[in-house]
Amino acid sequence: MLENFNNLLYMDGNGLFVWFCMAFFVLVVSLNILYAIKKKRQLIKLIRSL
Amino acid sequence: MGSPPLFYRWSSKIMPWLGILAIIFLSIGLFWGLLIAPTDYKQGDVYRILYVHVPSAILGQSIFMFMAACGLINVVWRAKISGMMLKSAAPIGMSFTLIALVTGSVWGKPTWGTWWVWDARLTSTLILFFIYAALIGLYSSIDDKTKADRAVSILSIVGLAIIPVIKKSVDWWQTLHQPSTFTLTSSPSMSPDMYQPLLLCVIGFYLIFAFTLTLNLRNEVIDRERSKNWVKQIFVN
Amino acid sequence: MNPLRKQRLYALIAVLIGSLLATWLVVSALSENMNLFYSPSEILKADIDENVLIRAGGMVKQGSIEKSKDSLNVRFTVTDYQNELIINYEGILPDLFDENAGVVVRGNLKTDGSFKAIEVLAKHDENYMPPEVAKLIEANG
Repeated sequence: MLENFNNLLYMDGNGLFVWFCMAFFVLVVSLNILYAIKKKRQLIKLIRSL
Repeated sequence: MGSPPLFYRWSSKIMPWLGILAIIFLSIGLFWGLLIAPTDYKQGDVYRILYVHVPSAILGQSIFMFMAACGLINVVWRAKISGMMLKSAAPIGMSFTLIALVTGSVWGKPTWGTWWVWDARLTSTLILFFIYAALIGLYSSIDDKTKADRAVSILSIVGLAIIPVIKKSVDWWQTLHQPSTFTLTSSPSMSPDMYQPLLLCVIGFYLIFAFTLTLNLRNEVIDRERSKNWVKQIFVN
Repeated sequence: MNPLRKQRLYALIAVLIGSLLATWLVVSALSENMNLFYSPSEILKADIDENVLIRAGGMVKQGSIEKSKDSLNVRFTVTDYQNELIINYEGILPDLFDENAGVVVRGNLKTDGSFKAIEVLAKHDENYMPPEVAKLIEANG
């Protein structure tokens, strides 16, 4: 089980590079989406206060 | 689609589908590419970075072309929605270009032996990133939104000239970056069990772009129409 | 299309052509400097001072890699299939460094014609395939 996990994580030795790229992609895309959601909340607040 | 309230209602129907499809394509494509696709004969498993790197680079460039098309429509036909689309797409295009630069750098270290080198492909992609930054900066420096739209539209058309340079940089000059694997003129120099998941990833990246663009565009629409009645009807009970 | 729109369209096309032209001028002016490296033939033709740092690139000649047993010193030949350059380097080589693979080295061309590298980068090609397929191709070719 632990060996399987290590194989998955490190692959043939450079796995961490691959997972870092994957994580960076997910992070940047999530930030884009979260920022849009936050902006929408602010806008709704603003419209209600008008 | 021309009228803002119509767009707002119509987009709220298709947006969940875009999100669901994006997640399906991305999770299958990335799972397949990172865990199932065969390893590369030369690079080993580190080549799997291309399942993130290649779609990001493709999107970074095609979003710019999309923005220039919006810019053209905005200047010639004065269509407001195209100006809003241009503004909404810019941060996403910049994000994908950043992902392409960062993942390329992380891929370069274990394969080439360096994080960065000033070759033509890498430098021209960095310039694209700065053009995105300039567009966003120019936009926020002009208060009048119609004028800002127009200025950014023209800059996006000026900036379009960088796209063929990026595309052909690996053919015109000696670069450290390898030439294109996929070309229109010859069959791909990659085995099918490797490029099939890549194709799913590319579609998934386009879908997540469409999803995020819709999200930004809806914000932009209600921001600019906030004093209109239809907006109040939706948000004020 | 109404005349005003037509006029705006032509103006934009002019802007695009202008920008393409400007980019093309910059690119062709920089053209030589945009090359990351020079081939052994180009380097041997040019008269390069010993103190100038340059980048040379080409393929590592088959059977030319000589590694020292007790240090990180390595000597190999870079070829463009016309001319060759002997490279001396001390340091760690990238994973993809191999014979018959592309390489880019940075360093000085010594007066005796050898090249003292301070950095060795591996260049890989655009081909991707599983190891089994690579073996098959090698067996058939």
